[in-house]
This record gives sequence, C-alpha cells and structure tokens, in this order.
Amino acid sequence: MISMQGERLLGAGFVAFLLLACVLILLPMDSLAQLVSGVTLLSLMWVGQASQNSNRWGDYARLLVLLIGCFLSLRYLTWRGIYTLSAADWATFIAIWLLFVAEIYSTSMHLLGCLVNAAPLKRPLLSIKDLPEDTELPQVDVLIPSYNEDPELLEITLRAALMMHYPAGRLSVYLLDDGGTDQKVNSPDPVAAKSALNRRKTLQALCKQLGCQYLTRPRNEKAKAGNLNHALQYVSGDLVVVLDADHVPTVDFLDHTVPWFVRHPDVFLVQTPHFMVNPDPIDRNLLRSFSRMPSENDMFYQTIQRGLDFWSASFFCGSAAVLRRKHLDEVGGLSGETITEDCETAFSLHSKGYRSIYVDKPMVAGLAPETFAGFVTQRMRWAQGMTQILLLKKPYMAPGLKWHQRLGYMSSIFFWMFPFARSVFLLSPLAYLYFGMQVYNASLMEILAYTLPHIIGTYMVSSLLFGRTRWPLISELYEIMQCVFSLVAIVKVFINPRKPSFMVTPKGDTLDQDFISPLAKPFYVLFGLLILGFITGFYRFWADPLTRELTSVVLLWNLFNFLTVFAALGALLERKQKRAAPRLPIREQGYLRAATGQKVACKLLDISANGSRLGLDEALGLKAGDIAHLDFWSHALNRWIELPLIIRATLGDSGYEQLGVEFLAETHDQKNDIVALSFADSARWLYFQNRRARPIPFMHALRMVVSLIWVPVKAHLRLFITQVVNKRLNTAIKTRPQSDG
Amino acid sequence: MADHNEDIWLQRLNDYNGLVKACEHLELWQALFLGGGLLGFLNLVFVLQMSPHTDAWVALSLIGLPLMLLGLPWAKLRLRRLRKQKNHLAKQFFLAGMQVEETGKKLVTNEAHSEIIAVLSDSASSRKKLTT
Repeated sequence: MISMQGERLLGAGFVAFLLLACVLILLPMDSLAQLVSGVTLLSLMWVGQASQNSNRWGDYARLLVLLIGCFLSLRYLTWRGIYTLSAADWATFIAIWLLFVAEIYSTSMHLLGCLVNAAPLKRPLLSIKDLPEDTELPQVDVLIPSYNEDPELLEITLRAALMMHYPAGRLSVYLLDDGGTDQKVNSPDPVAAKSALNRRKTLQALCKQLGCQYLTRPRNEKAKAGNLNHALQYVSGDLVVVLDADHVPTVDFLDHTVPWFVRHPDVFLVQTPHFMVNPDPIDRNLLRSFSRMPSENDMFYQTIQRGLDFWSASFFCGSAAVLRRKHLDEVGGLSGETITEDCETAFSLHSKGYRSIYVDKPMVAGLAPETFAGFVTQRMRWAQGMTQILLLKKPYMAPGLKWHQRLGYMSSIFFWMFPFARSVFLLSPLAYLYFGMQVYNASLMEILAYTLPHIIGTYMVSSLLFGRTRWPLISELYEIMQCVFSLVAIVKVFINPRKPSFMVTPKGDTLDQDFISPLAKPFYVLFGLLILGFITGFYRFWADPLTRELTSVVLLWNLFNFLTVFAALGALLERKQKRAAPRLPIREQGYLRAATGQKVACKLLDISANGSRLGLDEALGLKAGDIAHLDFWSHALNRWIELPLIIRATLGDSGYEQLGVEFLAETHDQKNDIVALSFADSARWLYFQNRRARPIPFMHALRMVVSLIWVPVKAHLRLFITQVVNKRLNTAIKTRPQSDG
Repeated sequence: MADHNEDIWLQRLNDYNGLVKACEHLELWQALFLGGGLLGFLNLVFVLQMSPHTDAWVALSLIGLPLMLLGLPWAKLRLRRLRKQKNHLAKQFFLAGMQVEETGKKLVTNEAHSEIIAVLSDSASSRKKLTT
C-alpha cells in the first residue's frame, strides 16, 4: 500500500514530469540541433528495443521506447502547428488544415494506442476442475442467432454447442431463427413466404433431432439485438453464451469461461477471440499468406483486447462470449440503439461498474467474409456503429466510467475515423502536384529533422506493440481498401446518427469463377489520379527548379500511395473458390484402414467439416471411389474417433501418397464425431495462431508486398481489359442489325 | 516423429539457447554502435557548422566515433554468422519434427498437442518428459 504522503509525492513527481515534458516539447531548436537530438533519441529507442527481452531491464526498456516515441511525435506535431501552417490563399489554407487535422488524429490514435497497449494483460487459464468440489455451476443458455445461414452450417454450430463439456442438465442450446419469423412466413411475396416457411420447418426438425430448442419471433425488429432480447424472455439461465451462426465452439469453451463468473460476482462478460478458419478476401485474393502471416483480426484479439483488459475496458464483440444474465437484465437486455449492439451493451454495463474479462485463447472458430463486398459490408457496419456510440452515448463524458475506461472506449471508437485521415493522406500530395498548393511548408532539412524521426519513431513503437500480430504495411493496405466506402458511411452517421440499419455480413459464399469486385471503380479513379500526379509532378520538377526539394518529397509520398493502391487493385480480383467449407492446414497423426483391413499411419494435412487431405506414410494403392476408415485420437474428447470416408482424389507419387477424402456420416454419433474431429480442439487453433504470430522487419515486409502484388494486379488488369473488350463487342453486335435495318 | 535421443537434443537445445543469448547481446551492441556512430557523425557535422559557439560536451561523442565505426561491422558480421548457426539448428529441429521456443529454453514436438523433449531451467540444464 502506498501511504498518503507517498501518493502526494508520486502525484508531484508526475506533475513535474509533465511540466518537464512540456518544456522539452516546446523548446525551440534549429533544424540541425533537432536532427541531432532526434537521432540521439531514435538511437536510444533502438537500444531499448534491442533490450526488451532482457529479464531485468525489459519492462523499463519498453517504457523508454514508448515514452521517447510519444515525445518525438508530440514534438513533431508542435513544430507543425507553430511553424508550418501559413498559407497564401484560402484554398491552400483549408488543405493545410485538413492535413494537419488528419495528422493530429493519427498522432492522437498513436498516443492512445501506446497507453492502451502499454501492458497487455495475459489472464491465467481457469478451469472448472480447479473450482472447489461443492461449487454449484451456473445454468448456461447458449443462444445462436441466425438470419439466412444454411441449415448445414447451423447444424455444425448446434452440434458443437451441444458437445461442450458441461454438466448435463445445466446446458441448453437455442437456435434463434430470424429467417422464419411470422413476418417472413406471412410475407406478401408468396415465394419469400414459402421459402421462410420451409426454412422454419427444416430448422425446427433439425433442432428436434439434435435436442436443442428452436425459437423465432413475430417480427424482425432491431436485428440481432432484438432477436437475442426476444429469446431472453424464454430462457432463465444464469449465464448466456452468444454464438454467431458460423461460430463453432470447442469443447472446452465453457470450461475456461464459466469459472470467471463463479469466482467474481461482479464480472458481467467473458470475451474470447474470434478465430477465423478461412482467409479474408484481401488475404485470399492478394497476400495468400493465411498460414504464414497473422490474420487481420489477430492484432485486435491478440494485442488490443488484452491491452483494453488491463484497463478494464475489454468489450463484447457480438459472439464467442459469455454474459451474466442478472447484469444483462439490469440494462434491459442487449442494447439496440446503435448497430453495434455488442460494444454498446458492454459500454452500458461498464458504466454500471461491472467488470469484463478477456480470455486470450481461441475457442470459437468462425468464417471471415469471402468477398470484398461482404468484407466492406461488415466493416461499414462496425464503423457506423462505433460512430453512433460516439455521437449518441458520448463515452468521453459518460457517468460511471473510470478515466481509463473512457480512454479505452475512445481509442476503440476513434480508430474507426481512419477513413478521414487516410483519404487526406491520399489526396494531399495531389493537391500540391496538380495545383501547386503548398500543403506542407517545410524545407528538406526540416523534414529530415522533424518528420523523419517522427515517422521512424512511430514505426518503432508500432513494431514494439503490434509487431507479432500486424506486419508492416499491412495496416495501410487494409485501411486504404476500406476508406473509400467507410468514409461515406461515417459521414452519413454524422448527418443522421439514428439512420443506419443493421446489415448481415454475407458468409459461406462459393465463387464459381474469377471476377473483378463490383466495388473496384473508386480504385480505378484513384489509380488514374495517382498516375496523373506523377506526370504533373515530373513536369513541376522540370519546370520549377526552386521547389525541386519539396517536389521530390511529395513525389516519394505519392509513390507510397501509388504502391498501396496498386496492391489494392490485386485484392479486388475475387478468386475462384469452390469449396463450401474452408480447409484449415493442420499436421496431425491418424490411421487409415482400407476395406481389406490393411492399416497404415497417415498425417491429416488439412481439415474441414466435410473432408480432409491425408498423407500416407506408405502407399495403400487406394483409388477414387474406394471406401476406408480413419482412426484418430481426439485429445479434446479423450477417445478414439472412427470415421468412414470415401476417397475423392489421389495425389502425389507412390513414395508419399496423398488422398483427398470426404467423410461419410451415417449415424448421429458419426456426425458428432466429424464436428469433433474438425472443430472441437482449441489446442489446434492456438497452435495455428502461434505459428504465424511473429514479427518481420520493415524491408522484409516491403519485399513481400512488392513481390506478391504483381501477379494478382496483372491478372486483374487482364480480366478488366477482357471485360471491356467483350462489352464493346456485345454492344457492336447489338447495334449492328439496327444500323443495317 | 521426433528423435528421442534426448541427450543429443538437450545438448543441441543448450547450443541453441547459447546462440539466442549471444544474438540478443550482439543486437544490443549493434544498436549501440550504430546509434553511437550516427550520433557522433551528426555531432561532427554540428560542430563543424557551429564551431565558434559549440559547447565542448557536444564534441564528447566524437571520441567514441572511431570505436563505433570499427565495432559496427564486427557486430554485424558476427551477428550474421550467429543467426545463420541458429537458423541451421532450428532447421534441424524442424526436420526432426520438433520446434524450439523463441527463448531457446524448451524443445517440443511440432504438433498442436506437443510433447516436451527437453527443457533448460534457468539455473542448470534439466530434462523433463511429460505431455502438455
């Protein structure tokens, strides 16, 4: 315990530190002295980064890097504000200020990121086995809201939910069907009504067969939140598990989440990561690094949520979470004022003083949207919902929240304003290259002294905080790809905060052929604008020798934007995908039994809900159409799984035969075993995630992106030209008879 | 499957751990040499530009400049050699169906449910065998 006097001393020390920092940030210096100080500080940061693994000094080194990084950024921003904002005319003045505001936003996000992620919390993994023997476990209701998902996909989730390890009689599973509501069944469109009725009957039969409850409601009101709140009227368990229709839990999900509620009565939420078993469209179309590179959401689930958890501000992400019913009832169920009901609900319960816990172990496997359009739909909803929370709930002044929780929420919400800053950074160099607007009034020496140390310092801090889960340049690519659409969506919310409506993210699509995303048009325009920027820039360089320094810097800036948009074009070519169920690469041991009784050891090389690819240690001479059995020791179930299968394809040579197989489920238990084999084991998700979580240097990332983008961009351009030519030909064929006639 | 000749693997893990530690030290030295070198060089420019008005302490880093310039290539080359040796050992582990923890203290089979092959304790090398 710190005494009163100690607290005062600490407070005084903190104030003195802040005053000193302010003096140093505002201290006037000429460019050369600033450059020397900048390089000194960067060197110190580098030394700090190199010693971050030291047992003794690691934490101090991390703190030092963060503090120096923040100092360099603040010093840069102060210099920008004091010395570089003069303009000759109104148009330039507006452009300068837009850029400056974008920089203030980026720096604020950076500082908030440093604070939030300074000490990510790693919670211990609790288990029900560790609770006292006489502990009465709470009654758990699993709610699985569904809108338009296929019954096959729902069956997997329902089976997995029913298989979770928990005492019988204390677990109930409910399917909440919004696709078979009375409103939809009585739709004036007879086709839609029939389809809704069929869906309702099919799902009712499925639930009856599996032993879970089917619930639907009269009207489709308030989307997912409305669906969940309707179900809450019919369930009475102590805890509520929310799982999206495509989110399949592992058997130990409740084992590692429920004990938190038993031990801590003030916990309202235990959130776990969403582990995606398929790549998102940008990864699938462009990067093709699903097994090697951390996925896009790993940064949030492996770093940021842990950082927020340290500040008691980790929030509900809509699925893969457990909520305490009693607390939920206090705020009237799930909030539905915004379209991100998850974050809003957590916000309301944090405001009441209850705690949230983040357990960083992937125990739910889900699907990422397959197409870029689906991806954008999902992200626009998040951006709009978070903006709604900012405008309607005002977390910066909400009563009940502690200061650090406010900062946590503001950091999560402000992140979604990135389209504004990203658009300004894209267009600012063009304002100079096209119109000669001096949006950045600085000499080369000043850029070297202030801007470069700020950029390098920011990169070093980001690499320290997120290096393992987000590789350099990847954020830029994902943000550029979303910014065009999200900017419009956010502006709409600012105009009318209550207008946005919930859009269901399309998932589980199959794509029959390669095609260019219908959302590609804005990127063609951007691509053209950036190329034009080079032309005018080179002309300016040649025609105006006095501004060559600045023109060179702006041309470099334009080149960076060009490369990112160029890469984005590659991601807009939607690749063919025929598999309905994505296959995750694994490497696990099993045994294949042929119909003749011969048994050989094999490796499972990938797995999905339908089948697997097996690598045989010795050739069995099996061919397509043959029936065999797979024997597999399930660590999750702690027993052998025996599954019948049919060989669909044979691959490889006789030395190392590989077989593409499809599982044949005949009985209820065998269907359960297929789900258990594919989805029950959280250790598999963790192993997969850990294998790709590693940092890479900036130059390595640059090489990777530059080498990867060329092929998909070439394919995109080829398909684009083919489409244009075909369109012209079709038009010519259509118009010919008319002109002939 | 992993080769269970435990003594050999323990010895190799020990070698790997030594390389990890040596690399960490060298990375720190490299950062010091490069940072110090850059600082010395920039201070030299600063002193040359502002010579009548520069304080003597600014020139202090110039004393270390030759040392930094000599030390940097040495640290770089040595680090490169050690990293190659470390990667070679990691490759051997991988080919034998194993993976080594980043700190170089634990060697496990390369599976989701891994089996520990060898562990180095902080005080002395010890060996355990259990299933996680």
